[in-house]
Amino acid sequence: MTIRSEMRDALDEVVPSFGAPGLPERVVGAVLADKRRRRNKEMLFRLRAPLSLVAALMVIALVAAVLVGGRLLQDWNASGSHSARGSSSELSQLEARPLTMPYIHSVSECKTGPVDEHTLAVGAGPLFLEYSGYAMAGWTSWGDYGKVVLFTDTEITGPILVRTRDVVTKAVIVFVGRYAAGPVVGTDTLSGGVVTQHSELVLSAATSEPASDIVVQPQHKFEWQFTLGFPKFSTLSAAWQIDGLTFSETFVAC
Amino acid sequence: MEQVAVNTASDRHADLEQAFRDVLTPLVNPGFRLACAMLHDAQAAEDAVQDASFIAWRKFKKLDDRGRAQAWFLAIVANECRNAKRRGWRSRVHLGLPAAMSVGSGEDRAVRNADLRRALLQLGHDDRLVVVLYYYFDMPFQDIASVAGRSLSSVRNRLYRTIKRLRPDLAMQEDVR
Repeated sequence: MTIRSEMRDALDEVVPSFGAPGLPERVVGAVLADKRRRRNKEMLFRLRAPLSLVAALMVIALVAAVLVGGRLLQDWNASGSHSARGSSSELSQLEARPLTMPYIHSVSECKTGPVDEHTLAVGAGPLFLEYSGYAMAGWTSWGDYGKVVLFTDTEITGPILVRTRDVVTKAVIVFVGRYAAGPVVGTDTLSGGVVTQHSELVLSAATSEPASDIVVQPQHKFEWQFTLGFPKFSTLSAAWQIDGLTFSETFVAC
Repeated sequence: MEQVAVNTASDRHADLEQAFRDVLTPLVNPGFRLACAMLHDAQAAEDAVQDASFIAWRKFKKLDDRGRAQAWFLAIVANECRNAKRRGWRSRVHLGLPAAMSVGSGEDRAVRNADLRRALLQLGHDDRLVVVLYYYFDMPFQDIASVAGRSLSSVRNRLYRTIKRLRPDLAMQEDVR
């Protein structure tokens, strides 16, 4: 018996041969009905919104613009200052810490963990990896790129240094784009643009912002979405080490 | 003039709805079967397909090549199955990698099938997706890569590794085309 026929035999017991009768009409109907309902609401709102409501909305928009503008200015100032991200000596101090993440001999021994009981995210804390939220960012002849999210609810001062290696081969798993820092490993062309591959990721409370491509539930106080790259022939399983001024954590994500 | 503009917009909307209906209706059952194979739970599978269909509507205008609609929709369904399985993550993590299947141990067919389904459920989402698409839906690697959002070589490697874990004794060249 081949594995294909075994698979068929086993899954035929839970997968209906022709789907479910009436399901397509029901599913598509529900989508379009919901769409119409929303559209009608929008139309109604558009036609009946009194002038005073429009004025009130404009005031709210103005206040929001002032607040957002202020926040952007604050972020801009913060990103330009060493005090927000931590001084270069603090970062050098973190970079000098030896890598103590665990390695294994074979990917078949790989076990993800530790896992936070509440969020089901991976990490020993204070930072956690939203492991199930891996989103493909592209692939090249060099390897595969994916977007992931680290998060924390803890106030952390100073820089946070993230380094990761293949849990078996110990190959450097690179970072590109936002937050990528440290030694340059190489360059690659991703989605039509040249990217520089770095071996480190540097985060700070000041540079955190809600993940935009990955759903993180619940939302957390600090979130960083970034892109990492697994070289070809990588096991796609990574050992992580995250260092801050007052902590050092390691974990494995298979 | 204003009435004409409203009519035109309304017609465009009706056309879009009709196009969505035409494209999606034949894909719902394949999506449902994929969700069943991934989740092993008909109710959860129906929910996943319904949620995927809402997402499909939102993204429908961006679907340039309707010839790719099946891979496009199955990819959305697969992603919704991943979300549906988030609650099951804990068990997967705690149990670690699936034990090798006990096929050939002389147990009867029902036990063996249950054994295989349990081993599949303990696989990670991406591993399970590749195995199910390849072995159950007979999908070529190129299409699996589209649905899984992975490169061809990555899909092949993932399938090889997963089957090796499930069946360490299997000679892959006999089974992987």
